[in-house]
Amino acid sequence: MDSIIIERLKTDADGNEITKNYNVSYELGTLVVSEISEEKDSNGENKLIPVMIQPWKCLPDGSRDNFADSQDAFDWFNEFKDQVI
Amino acid sequence: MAIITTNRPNRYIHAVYEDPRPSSARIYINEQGFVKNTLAAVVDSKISHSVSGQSLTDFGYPSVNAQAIGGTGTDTTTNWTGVLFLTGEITHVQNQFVGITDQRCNIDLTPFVSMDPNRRAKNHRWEYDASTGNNTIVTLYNEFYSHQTYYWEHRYNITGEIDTVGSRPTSLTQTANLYRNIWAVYRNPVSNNLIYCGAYLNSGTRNVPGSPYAFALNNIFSASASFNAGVDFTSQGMTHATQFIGVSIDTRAIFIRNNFTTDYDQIIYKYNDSLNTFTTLFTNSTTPTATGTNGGGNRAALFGGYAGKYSSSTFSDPTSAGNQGFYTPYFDVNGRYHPFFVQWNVSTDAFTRNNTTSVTYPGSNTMSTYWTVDQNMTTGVSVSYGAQRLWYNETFTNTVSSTTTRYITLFQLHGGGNSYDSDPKQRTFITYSMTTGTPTTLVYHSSVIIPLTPKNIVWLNDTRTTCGVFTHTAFYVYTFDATGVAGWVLTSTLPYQFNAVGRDSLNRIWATDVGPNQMGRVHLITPSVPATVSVVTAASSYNYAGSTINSTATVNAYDVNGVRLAVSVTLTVSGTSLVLVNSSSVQVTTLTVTTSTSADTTVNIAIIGAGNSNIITSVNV
Repeated sequence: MDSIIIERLKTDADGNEITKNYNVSYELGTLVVSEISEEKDSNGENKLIPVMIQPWKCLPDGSRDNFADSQDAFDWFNEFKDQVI
Repeated sequence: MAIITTNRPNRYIHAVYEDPRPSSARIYINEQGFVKNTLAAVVDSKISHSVSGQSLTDFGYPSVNAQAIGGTGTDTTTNWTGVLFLTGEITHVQNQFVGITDQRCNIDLTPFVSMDPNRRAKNHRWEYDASTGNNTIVTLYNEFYSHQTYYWEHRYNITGEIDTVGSRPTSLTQTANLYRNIWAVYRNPVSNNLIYCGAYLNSGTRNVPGSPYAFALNNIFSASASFNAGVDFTSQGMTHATQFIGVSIDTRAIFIRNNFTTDYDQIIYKYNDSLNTFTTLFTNSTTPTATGTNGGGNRAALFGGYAGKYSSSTFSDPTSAGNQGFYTPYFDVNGRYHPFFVQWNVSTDAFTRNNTTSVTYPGSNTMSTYWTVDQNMTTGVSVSYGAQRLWYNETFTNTVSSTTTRYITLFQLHGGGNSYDSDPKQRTFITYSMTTGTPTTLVYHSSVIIPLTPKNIVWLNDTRTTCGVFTHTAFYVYTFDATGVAGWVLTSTLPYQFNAVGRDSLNRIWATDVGPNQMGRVHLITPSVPATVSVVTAASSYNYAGSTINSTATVNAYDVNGVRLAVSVTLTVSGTSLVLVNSSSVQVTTLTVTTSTSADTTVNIAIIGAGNSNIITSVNV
């Protein structure tokens, strides 16, 4: 499984800008985006909270296509992350 | 129309609560129980919202926050007004401020937040699982002023009437700081989670709500039902509006997010309410190209740069058997309405956006002949976004002589009350007909000017052909002309500042206004009670020269839809110049007649002197 970490600027409920970190992983044709929680699991690792499970890439004209590989999936997500999360 | 009750005690309690269970025949006005269909009071029947059963517990409001017509708003309390908990669609309106840009003018999204004709947004609902026999009542109301709080009540597996000790709520919760208002749209029968569409709110001005949330009340068939966090679209809260499109064949709910700042950026996603995740089904941020009458491009801020845009209900796609479609507002570079026709393949959940290529008007007319944009939409960010003003298009059908035509009406709404009063084109609803079999070709059909700024609407029938329009000083009822000629026709004007109108399970229409005691007043606008009684004399004036003039007057009673009713009407003359003439040819000042469902009822009158006289009517119901 390939994965990358990205940082996103979000707005919290009080209207303040905050930074959230996401783990973006790719396996068997599916992209999974998870928020990296500050809460720890039993192994002392940051918990991952799944946000998006994406079995295809949506193209700008509204059509879909399968991910060619992990790089293709990560490229798609980086291009559209402002729209989808 | 009848005034049912005028509230006197200042108790924070709902105006009307209908028991949503088919097994119950109770309805509660304030807290008192009544038989639903007869409205006969039930002795020793009072609803309680106390979990412990030990106290009088607030839940909802009878009516507050109203502004005297023509007055200045001073009430800054933070709540809805005249809360109705009925099983049909209900729209609530805030009235305490008028003509200003303020979050207290925000619009209830109930009439359009669900695009599924079979799953309308209802925040007071009974859910039943036939496989287990479990049932639950989930009720909530939104507070639009602060957008920080809402109250919800959960009653799980109750057996007797709600007013009995054993049927207390499982929970009654005020949840603070959620920064969202929410509308329940669908129970997933597999997960038994109740799916909501929620409006995110900026914590500062709170007039910049997008509605990016899909989230769920989990495990509604348990005593511990609780809301999950919802999908995290916080960063788009100020730029997108969200609607519930419908349900996938895999039982998951599908939503559309529509960008406020352009008309051509839509995202459609499927919500997994079990995992609290989503999958993007569709994105399209491509600027349409010019084709036919569609100028394409980006209208930018010139024609309302920032507007919440709400799509139509879904309907059978005439170009793809078994699939669905809907219209999403788009205005081209010339500011002319050319909605997208979006197709939904229900087998694959693939969506395809099509440009409307032909929207035509009579002769040399254009859209600007009839309509103009709310110019407030073009100004700064703090007033540009928000649920105070929005565009919404809705579709419905009408059948004449076995020919069914699909229509699309474009609504422009402003919760501020009088913002459009000076410009009729801003308060005009335009209706188009869809060319049969060609959803991308629309033809202007008709337009109707609302007398005052339309603050919001409420659908008064399931087929979307009877529509109530809230304004600051009156409530108007429009019915789509069944002959297909005239379009939306005003059938009733109710001179009240209603703050809620909705339907119950018997299809009766209820309304609330502030009433003379400022504590709320409940109206029943039932179809069997006249909304309008007209008395029209044969001549508008008479020249009395000393001799009696015999003449006639016609009497008619109409329901809220403008349909004739047969009711007993008592006519009473006020003045000395006019008398009524009864069937024995005797001159009288009071006469009771029965109106007809098919024709005018004629009454003989006589002018017996000079001066003005009035005929006062009263209806026996």
